[in-house]
Amino acid sequence: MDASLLMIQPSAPEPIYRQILEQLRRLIAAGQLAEGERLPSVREVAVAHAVNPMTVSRAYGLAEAEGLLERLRGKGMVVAAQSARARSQAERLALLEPPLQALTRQVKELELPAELVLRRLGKLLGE
Amino acid sequence: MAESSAAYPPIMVRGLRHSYEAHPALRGVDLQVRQGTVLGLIGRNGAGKSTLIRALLGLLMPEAGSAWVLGEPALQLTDRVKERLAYVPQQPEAFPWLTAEQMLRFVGQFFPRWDASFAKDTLSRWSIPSTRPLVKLSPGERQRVELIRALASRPEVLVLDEPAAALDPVARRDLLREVALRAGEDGCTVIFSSHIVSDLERVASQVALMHEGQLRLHCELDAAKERYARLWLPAQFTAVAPAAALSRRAQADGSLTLVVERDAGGRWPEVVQMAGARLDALGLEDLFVEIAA
Amino acid sequence: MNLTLLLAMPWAGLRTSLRRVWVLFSLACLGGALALFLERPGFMHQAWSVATMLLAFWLAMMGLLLSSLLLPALEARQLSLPRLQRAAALSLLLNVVLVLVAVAPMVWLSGHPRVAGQVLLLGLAAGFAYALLPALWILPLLLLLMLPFWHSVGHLWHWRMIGPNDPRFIWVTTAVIVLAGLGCAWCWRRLLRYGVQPIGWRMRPTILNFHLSARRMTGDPQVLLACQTPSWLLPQVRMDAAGPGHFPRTLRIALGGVFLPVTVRSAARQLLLPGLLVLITFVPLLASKGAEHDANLRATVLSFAGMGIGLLILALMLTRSAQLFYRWRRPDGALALLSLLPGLGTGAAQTTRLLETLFGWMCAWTAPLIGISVLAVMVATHSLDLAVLQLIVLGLVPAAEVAAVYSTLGRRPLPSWALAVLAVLGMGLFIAGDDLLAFGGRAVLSGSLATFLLVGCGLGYAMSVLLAVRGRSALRHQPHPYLALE
Repeated sequence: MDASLLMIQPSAPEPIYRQILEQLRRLIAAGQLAEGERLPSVREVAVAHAVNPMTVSRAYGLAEAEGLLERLRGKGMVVAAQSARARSQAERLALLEPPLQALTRQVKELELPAELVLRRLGKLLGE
Repeated sequence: MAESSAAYPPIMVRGLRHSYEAHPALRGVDLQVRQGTVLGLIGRNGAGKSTLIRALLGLLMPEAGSAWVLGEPALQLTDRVKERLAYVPQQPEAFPWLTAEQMLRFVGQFFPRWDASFAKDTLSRWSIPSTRPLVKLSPGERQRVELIRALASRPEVLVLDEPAAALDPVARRDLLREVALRAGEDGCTVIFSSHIVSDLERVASQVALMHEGQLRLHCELDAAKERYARLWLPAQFTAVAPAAALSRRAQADGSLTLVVERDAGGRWPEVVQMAGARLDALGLEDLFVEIAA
Repeated sequence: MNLTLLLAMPWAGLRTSLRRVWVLFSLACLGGALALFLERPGFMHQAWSVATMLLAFWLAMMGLLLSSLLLPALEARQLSLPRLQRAAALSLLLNVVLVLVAVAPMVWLSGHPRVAGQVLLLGLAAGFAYALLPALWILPLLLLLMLPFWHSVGHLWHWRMIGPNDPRFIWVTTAVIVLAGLGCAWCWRRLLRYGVQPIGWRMRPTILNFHLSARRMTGDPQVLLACQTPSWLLPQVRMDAAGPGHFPRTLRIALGGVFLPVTVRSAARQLLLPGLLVLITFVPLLASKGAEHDANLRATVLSFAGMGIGLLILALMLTRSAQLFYRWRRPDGALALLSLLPGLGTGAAQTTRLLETLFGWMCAWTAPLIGISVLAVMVATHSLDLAVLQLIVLGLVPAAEVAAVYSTLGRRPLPSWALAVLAVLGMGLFIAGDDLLAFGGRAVLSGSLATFLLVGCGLGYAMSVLLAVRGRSALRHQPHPYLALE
């Protein structure tokens, strides 16, 4: 994986380490990062995005603790074996929780009926 | 490097007060910075950032309080500390008659760990005319030369006052990258003042917000984003607004905007749960504006 | 734009308090002149000429005020408001006409309308010329005007002022007025065509330079000057024998400006102009023959030794002190670097090294110059008394410089009004010294001029010692000498 594939928005309310972690979760859950695939080194990410290396290593450390990544001697960080199998549906749904909550709030603020929103969502999902 | 990191914090400031002609610039500032930290100092113009920086480098005699750099009182630094310290002022003006090359060669002689090849490479990479006197360079070029001077001395403490103000976006990114690597890999301690908040957000590990001569906030950058949020309360709830808020602004319609903080357990104040209350996550810039406006 | 607005335009830029002062000043000048013109003959000898001078002075000040219309005109140009730009020029012309109409009856009252009218126009032209002509021209023009007053040189070149009774007076003054008017118009048009940016400060009118420098008061004048100097004229720094352990030279490079060690070639280039000036004065003199030769040579040597070298020492001292003052007023420039550069010592050692450098450099320039000057006076006059007097007067300059160094480093600078008073006093002493030398001889030494000189010098030395002691004790209480004045 190339370091420039990560998207980092320093001004977003979400801290940079979280942005990296979320992206790793999504990419691995969706299978876009295959088991054993090498990740860019901390330095590579830091140089590519001009961010603090400590932030990157914090994200990697958390991902390692979650079992998403593992540290291989001589190879650096790779996608962990266990995470290569597709995650359970519940786990993947949990990743959607924050955007869904934000959507719910906006729906309430706009005072839209739920069924209208659901219908539209269904259409978007191509049902 | 190990010697200095173990014994004392690179930067320590206690009870700094200073004023210019009865106009207070610093009203009691305490600050301690650990080794390897990149501290982003933000604040509005005139908030006291430059005064704080100059006081902690011993460039001015504060009315009260004191500052230490690598364990030595800032007003009496010896060569041991000066060799490990680099400062780039807001508007570099030193050595206007020398060319960039002459200046770097001259200054380099005084620093035992001077990296001459870094100076040379960066000079050409940042495309700075090295044979023209500095006074004939544009402010941006001048600032880049100063940054090269500071970085080439391989400092343990690097202090940059608004370094990005005169740089174009590409040079700015280059600088941030260099600062980030120096801190992350060499353990250099960096203090970096700016009002361009997005620069800080890339490389800072800590953020300190100055407002009216005081440090209103000093914490890890990530914590600042996760721990604080803006709470909007409609007019009928203002009575139950939490007393401890970082800022509090009454709106024209009677509603209230507050910056609230999570408690030790990571929970928001209870009023957040009330129907009609709204909690927004804040980027650093919004947080800055909420507190300093 | 209506007539009232046009007429009021020059006043719009003034602060209210200044406007009041201006009105009072105008009333005093006009009223005084009118009273003098109306006075019966016999009350005062040549009352009309005093009144004319007063009016001419007022007109010169009016010229300065009206010149400031250039600023709104330039602003209008920048904002692309051609009508406003034209209005500024129109307002200038209208006001000039109004002012001339106001003084016209007085010219008639004076009884000498031709001469008085010419002098008044000359006054107005002088005001405009000072404000609107390129700054570079002003100094030579002023020098040209002052030359007849520089006794010995004026005498040498047989310059004589053309008085009002001279038949050529009308023609010469008319030519001067027309030239000044054309010069101002040319400068105005040029600025409005090309804007401020492409025109360097030397070719900008003085009033614009004042305006621009007032906006960045903190700017170091030497750095501003260096920005405008072509690269080949900038000093080329000698970098050898500078570095850790080489104190005076290292500090001189860091202090910059007049302290810089320069290469021989660079020094030669910078000495080109003053060298030329000396040549122009001496070559015709040495070439001349005859009875007047010796007297002329003596007079010229004297004025160079007395006033010339004296002014040079004074100018060097003022440049050094001003540079030091500006360096110490900018906290972030060279000062921060000096204070944080390793190898320059800590605390008291730092102060000692800096003082050694500053005073060493001062001595290197001042001592030989004073020596030459005193020696020249001695040789030319054969009078030990005059030579000693010269030594006493010139010795005041380094004394004042020591005081200035300590006041700046000890952060106890004098307020600007005190500096102005001292500058006037200093100039007075110099002119008195020159007069004494020019009229020469022992006869004058016992006169009131010499008394004034000695008392003035005594005061000057006392003041210098006082200021130096005050600054020095403040400096001792500072942790290091590189704290900014604030």
